[in-house]
Amino acid sequence: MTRGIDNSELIDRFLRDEMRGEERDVFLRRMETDPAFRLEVESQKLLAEAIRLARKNELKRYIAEQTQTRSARLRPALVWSLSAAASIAALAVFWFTWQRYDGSKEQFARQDVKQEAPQSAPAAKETERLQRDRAIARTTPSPAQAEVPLAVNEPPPVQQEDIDANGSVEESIGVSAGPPVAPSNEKEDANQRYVVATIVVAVADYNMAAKDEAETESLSRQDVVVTKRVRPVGKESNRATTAQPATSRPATEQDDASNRKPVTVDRNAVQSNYTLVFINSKDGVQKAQAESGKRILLYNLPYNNPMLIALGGKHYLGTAGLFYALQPELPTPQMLTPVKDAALLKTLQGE
Amino acid sequence: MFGKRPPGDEEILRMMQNGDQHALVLLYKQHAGAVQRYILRNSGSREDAEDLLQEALVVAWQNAQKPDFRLTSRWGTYLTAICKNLWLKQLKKNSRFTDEAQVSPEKMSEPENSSRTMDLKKIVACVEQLDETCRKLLTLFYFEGLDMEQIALRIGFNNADTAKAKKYQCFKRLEQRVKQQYDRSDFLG
Repeated sequence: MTRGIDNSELIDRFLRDEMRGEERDVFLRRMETDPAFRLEVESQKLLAEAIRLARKNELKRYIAEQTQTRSARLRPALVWSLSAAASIAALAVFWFTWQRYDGSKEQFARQDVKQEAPQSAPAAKETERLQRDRAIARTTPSPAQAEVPLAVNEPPPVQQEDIDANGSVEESIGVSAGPPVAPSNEKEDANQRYVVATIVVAVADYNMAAKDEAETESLSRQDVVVTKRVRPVGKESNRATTAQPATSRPATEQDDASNRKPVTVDRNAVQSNYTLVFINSKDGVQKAQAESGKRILLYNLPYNNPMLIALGGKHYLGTAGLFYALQPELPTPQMLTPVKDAALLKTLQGE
Repeated sequence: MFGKRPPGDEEILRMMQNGDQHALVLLYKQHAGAVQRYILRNSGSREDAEDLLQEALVVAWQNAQKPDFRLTSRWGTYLTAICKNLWLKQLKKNSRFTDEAQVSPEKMSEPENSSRTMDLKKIVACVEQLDETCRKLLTLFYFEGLDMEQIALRIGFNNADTAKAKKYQCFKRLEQRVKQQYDRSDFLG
């Protein structure tokens, strides 16, 4: 218990911004390298936030009662932003927590804890270029990358209605790590299938005002495909069931990258009820899609990294909070925000 | 004969620093009019003014707990400044939402009510279910920002170590309670 108290105290000092210099650096490094510790920090942060909110509400109620005014209401805009932020944080932490208490600690060791902050619009282009370079670099696996598992649930029987109706995944770049593999659940295994990978994209205009939320909400999970680039929907969706390669298109730098040696995966590190899929290349995505026969979800693993989602013919941004939230279920609308950057949209839509 | 003199600014500050919430009520009654006039002059409603003043009082309460807090102006000036900042922020936010999203209020508040969304509200409910000592201890630490010695004094523990151990227990209890509130379906729908 003393150790627990010490840890908790340490985290409190960090959260109360009482750490300075080397101590803070050491703490941050530990968070980066020890996912279990990071979980503790995030969990404590979330609970602390809830405690503050509870107290705030309590004080407001007290004032309202004593002054015979009504309790303060939350304005819609505030509700929206609060709820969105809180949901992402809550889901991230509790997904982690749930995993942890499920006895799957070794999964943490497989996570990539690299962090990248969302990009602003002016930086997007430059970032895209850098990330493309990184993707190329990644295709030659380093020893650290050499045993990075990616997990996919057991394939379900392919059904016509399950086929992705919105487009095919053309390519994906930059796989860096596998997810905490969801514990087996018979019902889910029969119905769901997901792929996890890192996808690096240039993003812009990060804004929580998801004006297409109603539409987003109405989409089913089968509609969700996360891609670097998405081709118009239609005929290509059939390809998913027949394992045919995607329509050929002019070679690009990324094709070049995708033709290199894929990241190898330590299959022994993954539970037997999961199938591994390589997602670091165009072929990998196609293979995954063909095997799954339908929906493929690519998640952005680094915690704060933006990710791109093609959903119902539109493109949205999300954060890695989504990764935890989505696993493997539909993203809730408040976690998504439409891509507004015209140049990026143009690229995404293959114009 | 002339009734009791209302407490002055310094006295109200002392009340707040001693954890006497009645100070908030006094401030509210003294300054509601000024805040309301300001908000009404600036495209707000009476309700907005009420909300804002409550919010400002919470901020003031929290600040007053800080050891280095000094009231360098009248409470009226201080609270009005907070309200102005909050209101400007709110107006900016409103205009951004109008320009960009045109999301109806119903839609915007939807996530809060969505059963699929695990949000802070549920965890807040867990905090509210804690016993009074735990709740008080945790809020004194995380909201008021007091240190363990101050908490021990405020709650009546023997010393800071006792407060620290108790705080850890309470935190774990909260964590446990939150965990019990959720099951797999909360994550997977």
